[in-house]
Amino acid sequence: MKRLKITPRHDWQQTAANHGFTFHTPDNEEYWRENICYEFTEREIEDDLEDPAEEIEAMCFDIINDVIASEEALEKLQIPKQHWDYIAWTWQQKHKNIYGRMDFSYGGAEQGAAKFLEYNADTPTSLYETAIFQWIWLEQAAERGLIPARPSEADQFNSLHERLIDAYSRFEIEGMLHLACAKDSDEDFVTIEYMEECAKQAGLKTHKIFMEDIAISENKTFLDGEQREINTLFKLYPWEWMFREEFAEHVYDSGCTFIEPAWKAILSNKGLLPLLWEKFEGHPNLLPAFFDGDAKASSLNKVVKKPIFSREGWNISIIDQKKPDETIHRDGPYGEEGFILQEYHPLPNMDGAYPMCGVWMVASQAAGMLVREDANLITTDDACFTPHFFKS
Amino acid sequence: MKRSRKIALLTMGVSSVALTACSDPKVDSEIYSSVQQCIDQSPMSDAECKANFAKAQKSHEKVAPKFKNQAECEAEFGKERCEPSRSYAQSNGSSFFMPMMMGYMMSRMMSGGGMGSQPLYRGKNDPNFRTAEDKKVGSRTGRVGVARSATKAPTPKYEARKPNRRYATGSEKRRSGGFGSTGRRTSNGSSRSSYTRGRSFGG
Repeated sequence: MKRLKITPRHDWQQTAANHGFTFHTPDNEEYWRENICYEFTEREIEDDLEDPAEEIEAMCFDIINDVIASEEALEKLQIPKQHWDYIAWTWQQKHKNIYGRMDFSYGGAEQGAAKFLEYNADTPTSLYETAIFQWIWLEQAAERGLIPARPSEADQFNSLHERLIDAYSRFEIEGMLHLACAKDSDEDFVTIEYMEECAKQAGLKTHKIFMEDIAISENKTFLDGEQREINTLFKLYPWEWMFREEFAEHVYDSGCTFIEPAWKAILSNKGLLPLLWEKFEGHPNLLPAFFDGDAKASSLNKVVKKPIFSREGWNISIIDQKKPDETIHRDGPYGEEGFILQEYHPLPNMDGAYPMCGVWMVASQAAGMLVREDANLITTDDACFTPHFFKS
Repeated sequence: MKRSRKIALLTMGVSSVALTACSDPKVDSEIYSSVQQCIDQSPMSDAECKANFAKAQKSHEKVAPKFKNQAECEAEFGKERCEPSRSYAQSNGSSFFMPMMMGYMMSRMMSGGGMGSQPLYRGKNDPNFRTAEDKKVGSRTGRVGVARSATKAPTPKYEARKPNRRYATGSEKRRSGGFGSTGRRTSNGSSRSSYTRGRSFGG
């Protein structure tokens, strides 16, 4: 794994505009960064990222089986009691999942195994730029000689687009697929637009709606703005929020099938990390992790303290248990529901940048990767998206 | 190669190319609400209409959704649209209730070229026929195209189903805004100004 300084495509902004990539430089801050790219070897991709991600997915499924049978675990995960049955039901009914992203700390084959940091299993974004814009970059960069790989050999860990279409075609969705996100986020809207694109290519009828505009009928079914019943809903909106909102009580009886299904609430929860460690202690891709307050956590010198529910690096602290004064912290709105402690495993420092590798799962199979680099050790929404390639 | 082919058309963005709607594979089927309607309208012979009706009626007992009581069944299928099952009883000895058969559907089978025949039901306030697997097959009778997935042979059901309300259609009284409040609160409702709004509610 190498960090390469390269020449950006002179016309990339125009290309982005042509492809509906509207948030590459939000509020004049750089997000898409193509004067840098990461080169991997095929072995690094396949052995160190792809295979471990699929193995962790299987381990996660074991954890779900444990959690739905354990009140103690459900309580630790801060899942409201009134939704336990529903979550278990969606798992037993095998409600299909479409996607997720596992984030790893990885610095190349010489630096040891990729370490699993967390699972964005419910509402991952950065999907469109990974699947489409990164791929267009690869084709053009190879074509124009901007990367040290000929077009015939330049490749990328990225089959997201066709895998998503394939996954939608297997969902057996009756009638219309509704797709929803919250208002006022361009990035989220582009994500559901892209999901809609894939669903359409799979032959589905679709309709977009905002979460705030979903209505309830007298019969307690969910309705869109045109009074149509919502039978299947892709929602880019976290389960842990939905569970605590007014319509939560109607989720079970509404007859609506959700994508991601509610069992993903177990995996998108940072409590997954201590549960994985408890069951698979010593696994080379896992870091020691404990619930806050667990005496065993005192064995760790330096820890990362993460809220059970958190996004984009908010409220995460890096704590040296011997030098608590030197805590690095990102203040924010999360943390009410408690914390977990994970052994500190710094992201690799490459020329002063800290890259994080996110492996995408589609229908539980590894299907692509993004690299985001931040100038800080806690990856936030300021982190830049940097494309990658390998030679095949 | 991690990607097997070039990216196909995109509907997104200003360079978008409209996709031709790609429809579900349809199977030629015939739907009738009674034997008499089949005899009157179908190109099939009277004998075929009758034989297929008998076949659907026979499987009805087995494949119809089962409920633990009349009320739960009627909540989905409407008043006086449910009947006790004659062939199957619950473990406590009482009868299952199941919706009455409201029609039947004959479809060309995928393999072997034979003809399948299955019972159809109708939810309360819903003009659509549904299969025993709860798949909508439309409200029209006669010769129709039906999505292949809905023409599969229904499975036997020997257990009571949890009631759901999806048969009921929307009402004029809407109430919305029951989702979305956390996103608003987290993004800009806080009194703290030290963090700016994230670009995304995802992550």
